[in-house]
Amino acid sequence: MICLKTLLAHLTITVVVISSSISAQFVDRSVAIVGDQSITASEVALQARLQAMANGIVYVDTLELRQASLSRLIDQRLIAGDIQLTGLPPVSLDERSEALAQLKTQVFGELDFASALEKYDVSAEQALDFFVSQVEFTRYVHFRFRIGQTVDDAALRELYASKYGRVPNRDAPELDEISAELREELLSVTVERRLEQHIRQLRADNRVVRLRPIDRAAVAAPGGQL
Amino acid sequence: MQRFRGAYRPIMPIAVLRYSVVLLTALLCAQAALPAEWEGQSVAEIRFVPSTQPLAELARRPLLRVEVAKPLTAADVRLSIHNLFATGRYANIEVDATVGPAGAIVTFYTEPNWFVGAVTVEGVDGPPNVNQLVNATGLRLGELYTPRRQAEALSNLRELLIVNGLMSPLIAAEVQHNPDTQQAEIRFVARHLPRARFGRLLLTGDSDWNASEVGDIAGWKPGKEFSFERLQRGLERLRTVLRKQGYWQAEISVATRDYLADENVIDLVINATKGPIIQVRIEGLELGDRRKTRLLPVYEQGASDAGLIAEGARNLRDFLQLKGFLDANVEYELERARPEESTVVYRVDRGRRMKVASVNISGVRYFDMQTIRERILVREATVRQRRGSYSTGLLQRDVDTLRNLYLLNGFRDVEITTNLNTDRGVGELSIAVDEGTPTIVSRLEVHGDEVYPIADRYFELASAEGQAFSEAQVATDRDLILGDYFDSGYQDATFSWTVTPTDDPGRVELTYDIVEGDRLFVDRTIVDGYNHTQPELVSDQILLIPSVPLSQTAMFETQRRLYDLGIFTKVDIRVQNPEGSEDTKTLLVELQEARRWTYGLGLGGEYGNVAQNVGESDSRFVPRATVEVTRLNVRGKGHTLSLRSRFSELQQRILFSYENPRWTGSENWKMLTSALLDRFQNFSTFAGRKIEGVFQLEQNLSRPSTALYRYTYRRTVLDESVDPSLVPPDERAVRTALLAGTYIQDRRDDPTDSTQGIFNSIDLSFASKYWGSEPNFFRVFGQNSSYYSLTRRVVLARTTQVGFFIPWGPMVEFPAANEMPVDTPFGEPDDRIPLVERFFGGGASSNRGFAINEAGPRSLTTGGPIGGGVEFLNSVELRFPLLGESTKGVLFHDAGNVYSRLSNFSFRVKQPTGLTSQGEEAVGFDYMVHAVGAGLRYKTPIGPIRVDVGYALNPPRYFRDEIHDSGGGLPPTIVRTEQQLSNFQFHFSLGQTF
Repeated sequence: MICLKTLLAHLTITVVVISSSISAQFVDRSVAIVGDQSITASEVALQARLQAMANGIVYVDTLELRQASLSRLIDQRLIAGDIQLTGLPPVSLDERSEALAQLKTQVFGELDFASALEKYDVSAEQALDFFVSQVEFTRYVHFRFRIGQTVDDAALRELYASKYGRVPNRDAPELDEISAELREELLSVTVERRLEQHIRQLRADNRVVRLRPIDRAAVAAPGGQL
Repeated sequence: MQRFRGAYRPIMPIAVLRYSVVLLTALLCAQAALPAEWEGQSVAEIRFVPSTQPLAELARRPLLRVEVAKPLTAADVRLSIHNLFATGRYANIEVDATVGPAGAIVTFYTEPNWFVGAVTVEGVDGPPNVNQLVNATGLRLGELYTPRRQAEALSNLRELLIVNGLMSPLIAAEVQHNPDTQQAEIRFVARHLPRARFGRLLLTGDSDWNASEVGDIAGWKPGKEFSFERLQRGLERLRTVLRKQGYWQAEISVATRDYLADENVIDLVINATKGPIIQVRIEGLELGDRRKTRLLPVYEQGASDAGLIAEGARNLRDFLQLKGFLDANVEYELERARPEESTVVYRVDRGRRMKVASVNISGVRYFDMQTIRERILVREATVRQRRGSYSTGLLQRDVDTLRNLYLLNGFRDVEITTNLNTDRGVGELSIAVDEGTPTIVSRLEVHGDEVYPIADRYFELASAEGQAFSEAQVATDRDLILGDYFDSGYQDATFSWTVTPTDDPGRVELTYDIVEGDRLFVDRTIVDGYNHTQPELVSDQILLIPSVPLSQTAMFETQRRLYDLGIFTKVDIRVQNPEGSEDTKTLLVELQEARRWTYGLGLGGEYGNVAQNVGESDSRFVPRATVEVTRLNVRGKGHTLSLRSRFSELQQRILFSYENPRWTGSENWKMLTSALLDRFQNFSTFAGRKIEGVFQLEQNLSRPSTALYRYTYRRTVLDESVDPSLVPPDERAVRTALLAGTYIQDRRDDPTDSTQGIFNSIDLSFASKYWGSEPNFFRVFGQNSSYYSLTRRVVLARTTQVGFFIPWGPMVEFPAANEMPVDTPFGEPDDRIPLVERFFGGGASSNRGFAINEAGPRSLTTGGPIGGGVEFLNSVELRFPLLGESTKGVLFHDAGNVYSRLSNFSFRVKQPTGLTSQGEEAVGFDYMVHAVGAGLRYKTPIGPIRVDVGYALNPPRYFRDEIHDSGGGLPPTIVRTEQQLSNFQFHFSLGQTF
């Protein structure tokens, strides 16, 4: 038999826990600043879900995932600013429609797309924006880093040798047969390297600040902060 | 049981823990699986913590997507955060929601951004000076202040101190936040070791110097204090020495600098590489060093690349052509005798010397020939320019000028060809213009000017319909349109244009596309940095008041007005948070007050007549001391109080003045009150004391025109040393009160050393008993001066000055020097004008054929000047370069004199002579004295120093009575002797004559 005191104690705890759940609930906060724009916690979470959805993996909310998503968002913002500066034309309405159609039919399939949206808790518009930004990014990389890049024959031969040895065995394909493929591989590596360098430079040139949570006691104090 | 009473007893801890974990897990799981509880709840209230926010509620409201009585959504919260951030006013934002029975209470927790306010650096004994230190921080007023910027500022400061030899610097940043303005005042406090000194010098490279020589030349002797400026100056000295030896490409640099902490010295390794010797040889032409330096950029710029060598050849050719060698040809070559020695050889073929006989311009139909002629610089020979003016470079400039003129007027296909024919021994230049057809704007459309339409502006577009089309005209329109947008607060307005050909080849359609952007207004103006100035004085100058459009022009104008007060050494005006998206901006005005007290002590000398006795003067150089004390910004009102005194044997003067540069708050009115105590001795006839008070208002009528309104009260007392026969003792003191008005029109390019423009002034003065004067007269004095640049450096200047008195009423007579015993058949000054008020002439700023104040009528007994009722002076000066840029020569002619009365004014050049009633010879002084002379002017920052020697062509003769001791107890005898003023006069002064 539970004595009265025990009952009272259980009731008190219940009230405390429940009241804590109905008191202030976190809604959103700014987690980073890029230039003069902010990135919010909800955007980071959305980015993580969209990324998981795009990769077809199960979304599990972890600190590492959030950090990776924030990092990716920061890069996206920096690149968006760079796209504006370089004057690349924005993605047109036709291109958006095409991306949506592709998303529905080729990536997921009409039925799967709807369930994927529900599963990852994203709206169709958010998913479309995400994929359009991917299109925009790909185009940016192409124009900014790919066009005009050439592959040195020596580098091509070096790659071939690294794959098939200095003296290839008989089963190995001829260099001419796979040169386009190897050339593409080398180009990808070069583009990747240049992109990374460029992003590093953008980070150095722009104001990028990761924000800590606000010390609420300090700001709420009379005369505190402002 | 009793033992537990009154004591703490845990309530089944394990059970409680178990219960809590279960409950919390259930709640968290529910939160994770379901939408948040606040999602979709109606917003009951929106709170901001802290309550004082960077943005007022009115400014926040349009930015918030979260609204009361509207469902709360994550998207709205996110957008609200973004919008608030975009203003640039927030550093951090978090949002919570509390769900209650009435709905959700949404709370925004915020942290503000801070912006750069006043920046000061203390603790550094320069160099570097305070401004250099503040600039090094890189912190600009109004910009966002972040920890990163602070770190950069500290790093920059540290580096600046180290390069200046202030080692081991420790710098702390003290930031004082002002929550009302969001400004951060940043104070850097630095500590460092005593300034390091120059240590050992080591030398690398191929120079012939040793370390000791380098130290001597550069001024880096061991033990001398180290500074960046001293280091750079030394490097430049070393370069100069090598250049003088012909090593124009010498490289001098600091290879390494090592700081030895134990000795607090900096050892330097200097790399001195001479490079090749470059010499210049000009064959076929003799040129002085100065001219060579001017014409050959190899000398000027210390480099010898092909472009500079070719430019030198062109300059030589143009130089010769301007001298009349129209066929001059200059070829050049770079000779390399050895790898380390090269010679630039200019081979000059001067050809025949001839004049430009004709400049024929053909094909001009659209413009009249005068329009064309006044724009070109090539000229045919005239009396003034015996050979005319021609060079290939000059002609090319003229062709470009004409082409631009045609392009501006729509002649896009204009072709201009030139030909110089010298076959007939003279230059015959022809310029043929093929105008082509003009392109006219058939239609102009302006798009995008919806909010602020172009049609409402006061200006007219240059490329309106029916006007000629040219890119330059479009550029003019662009500047007009954008300038007006910027001034109206549209700081992001952009302009682009397209031109479309029409079926008619001579017509085009023009489209202007404007993107207006957001209009910015002034929210408030924060002024900082003044302690003594009254706030009203500052705020009266600020044109950017709340709610007016943010205009660049108004910012510049405000800055100019504040500087014009003369009490601030720095006025910085910036927009706070320039990157923020707010449409109302806070304007920051950072001031730095000038030192309020300034003192000056001067020692020098002046040359003039030092009166030994009346009628006897001794021209000599006497020492002079000046003391000046100025108090700026009196009572914080921008007024100036000053005391200027001058003491010498010639003059003792103390002047107090009080100036209000903005009388009644208007920029166009200035008030001056002054009191003068003056003991003068620069008249050979008399000496005396003067006490004078002046109240003057100055009205700025327009940029060149000024009017002065003045009341002067003056009491002059002649000293005892004055010959009693000259002025009766009871008339030695004269009280004069004048109401005067002066109009000045000044269109000179440089008042201290004018080369072109005009200067006119007219001064009308009334002296009357009604306002306290003893004498009654009307005085007029006028001046007209003009300046003409004959060539770039030769100036012809002239001035005419006329002044006269009209006395009225037989109020009081001032017999002055009209001694009774001797009569004269010639005119005498009107005795109603007291001696001290009359015109006196002669001297450095008057007729230079006279010593100072020696012109005009003279005493018939003592022979000293007694002044007159009329003054006239006409001066003409030819000012020309003599030695370099600083020294000029002058040839002048002065004509004029001081006349007894207006009715006796005369242009006659011969001194009038006649006989007195006693039959003695008498001379008159009413004639014009001519003087010619030459002078030197040495340019200084405060105006030229002037030395003139004048030669009077017709100096006056005069008579004076000399008292001789007869001896033997007999009364002295008076002997009348004839005197003549010297023909030569020497003058030394500061500033041009006029």
